[in-house]
Amino acid sequence: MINNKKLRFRPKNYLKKRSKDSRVVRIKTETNKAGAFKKITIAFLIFIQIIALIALYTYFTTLSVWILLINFILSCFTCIYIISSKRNGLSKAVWIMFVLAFFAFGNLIYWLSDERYFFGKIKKRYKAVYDQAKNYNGNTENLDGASLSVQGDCNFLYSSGKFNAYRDSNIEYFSSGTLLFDDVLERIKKAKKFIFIEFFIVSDGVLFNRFFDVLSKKVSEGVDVRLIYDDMGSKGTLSHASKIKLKKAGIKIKAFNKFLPFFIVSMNYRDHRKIICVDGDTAYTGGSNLADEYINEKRMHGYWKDTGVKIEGKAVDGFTLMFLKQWEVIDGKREDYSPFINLYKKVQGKSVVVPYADGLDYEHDIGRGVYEKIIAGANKFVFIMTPYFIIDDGMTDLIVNKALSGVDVRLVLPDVPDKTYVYSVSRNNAEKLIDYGVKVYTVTNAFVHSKVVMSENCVSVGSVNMDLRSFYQQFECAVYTDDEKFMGQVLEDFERTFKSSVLLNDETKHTKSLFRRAWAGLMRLLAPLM
Amino acid sequence: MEQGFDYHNYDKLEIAVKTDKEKELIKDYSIFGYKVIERYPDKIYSNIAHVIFSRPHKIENKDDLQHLQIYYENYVNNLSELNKNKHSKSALFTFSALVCVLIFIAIGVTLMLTKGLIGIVLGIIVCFISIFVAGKSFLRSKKIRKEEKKIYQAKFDEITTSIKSVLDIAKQLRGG
Repeated sequence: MINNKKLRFRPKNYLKKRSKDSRVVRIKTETNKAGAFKKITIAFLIFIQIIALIALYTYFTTLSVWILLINFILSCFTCIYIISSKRNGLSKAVWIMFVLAFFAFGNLIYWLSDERYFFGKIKKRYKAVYDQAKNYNGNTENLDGASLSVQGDCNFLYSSGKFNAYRDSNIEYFSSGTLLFDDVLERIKKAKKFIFIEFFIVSDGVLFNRFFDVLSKKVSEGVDVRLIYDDMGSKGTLSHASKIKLKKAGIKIKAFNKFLPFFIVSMNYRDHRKIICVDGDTAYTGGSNLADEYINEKRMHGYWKDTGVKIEGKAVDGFTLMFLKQWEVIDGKREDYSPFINLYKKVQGKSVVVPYADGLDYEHDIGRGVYEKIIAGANKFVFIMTPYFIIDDGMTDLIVNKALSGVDVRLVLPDVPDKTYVYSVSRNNAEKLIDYGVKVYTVTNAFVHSKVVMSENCVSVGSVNMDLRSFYQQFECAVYTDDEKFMGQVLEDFERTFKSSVLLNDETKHTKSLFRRAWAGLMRLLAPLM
Repeated sequence: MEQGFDYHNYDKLEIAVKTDKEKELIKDYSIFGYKVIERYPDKIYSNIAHVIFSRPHKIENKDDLQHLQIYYENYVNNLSELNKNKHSKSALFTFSALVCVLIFIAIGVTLMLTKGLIGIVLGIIVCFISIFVAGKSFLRSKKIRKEEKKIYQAKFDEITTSIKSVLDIAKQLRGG
């Protein structure tokens, strides 16, 4: 007799059912269905708002021919404004096309997306915090002995964002998220004063549990533990229960730019930084977020290739200040930074280390600028590792010209995409460069999440993707250096990566098919709007 | 710690595997450093088992092993896919030919049943055509099957060599 009520209603031969899946082995990866549902709901609500807005505005403008005519004239003025704006060329072209093609409502959507009106208050807040933080900046170091190219890059970083160049700093490279986080965990176990953590994605899982166990113990020892996570990046991955758990343990947590289901342009500006600062003498950055897929303990898109950097010495203050400024903007309370800086241990170093950031808090496009300068200054080689490759014409021309000048330009992309629509654009953009002598590699069975740009003179490793979102919309961070040992480690990683990659050629191009080319072209149109 | 699992010092891996390949896969995963800690059958499918492995968190060449593991899993699944579609082309051809022959026979019989002389003659001709088509299809199908076997064997050898190569590299990385 079957006591279990559920079993009673099963078909008699249910135990004999055989799976028709042809796969022999399947890795079981937990999916947060509640998280996915939340994201879909929010996206749907925003979509409904946009449709409602467009419908209402279109109805209003089509009430009479005169209103439509006035709207058309407004659209033309909007286009003139767009041409004279600071936007990049591709973005200008796409917006003008959008505003004119949909002149009934295009200008409305454009003005609602203008950050000066819908992010202006926050930008003022940033300015106030940064002005106050100037006192803690210190001075940039003497660059004697550094190459002219490096001196120029450092001058650019200082002029555009007041990022000091530091000497007397050690810098170490990690070629995977696993190596990075193993070192981080060992370091934070020894923390005595403070631990500052800032990530775009903080996700429940094994890595979170490892961090939580150590951090909660540190809080009980009197260490100041703070965590900033991006609300959209961590939506659906960091559960409400985990947030409560963190707060109960005494860890101070702040969500950057809470993601609300409203069509507001500021929702598009996210904190993409990855920073860990410990006791003012050690800092980490790189491409990895605090989630299991970054250490390959959760299978998502093949092997997850990532990078990390550890800095010791004076340069740590650069990251500590970055974190504290962001914390102050979110918290809204004035803070004295002096207990957290000038705590580094004296380290002897000759090379230049420049921690830098980018975001809407800076007038210049610093991340893009650094990459441009590294590529422009190269005479022997340029190696780029990036998950996405959506760049504007200026950057494309620079890369092409370098390749045509005989510089060995190599680009490493993933073989396994995480977002198909973004991948199709990236792949299309990269494959176009093959004809100009750029070598494009895809790492087999892997998703490349590293963000590394290096030449024979210097290297930048951090969170800055080679795409328009990182260049113009997100808060980013990275470290620039000419340290020979560090560059050797990065070069070794590149050489190893090339060996496990496929070099694309005419045979392996994705974009041979007409459908793929058309799709990539359409996605490219939308890229500046993403 | 979660359910008694020491996640600070060990990594966990959970897979769903076809029961006929289970022992082989467990042996291969041991080359990557994994040991079985739990095994349970699937609730719905009789030919699926769930296996939970653990491995020390800190092992030499972990990144390379993780990447190789994905190569291994893809090769194993590709091999299974290859076996599934071994004779797909010939099966499709045979099926299509059979349908054509049956249609021809149906037309032929219908014509014969019209009881007119022309109808009977046409019906016989159509039936002969269908027998001819059936014969030709049978021979063509045999040829396609032979070609398929050749292609299959070549791909099978390539994938099994790749699997062996991946496992050999994994052994070397583990110091074996």
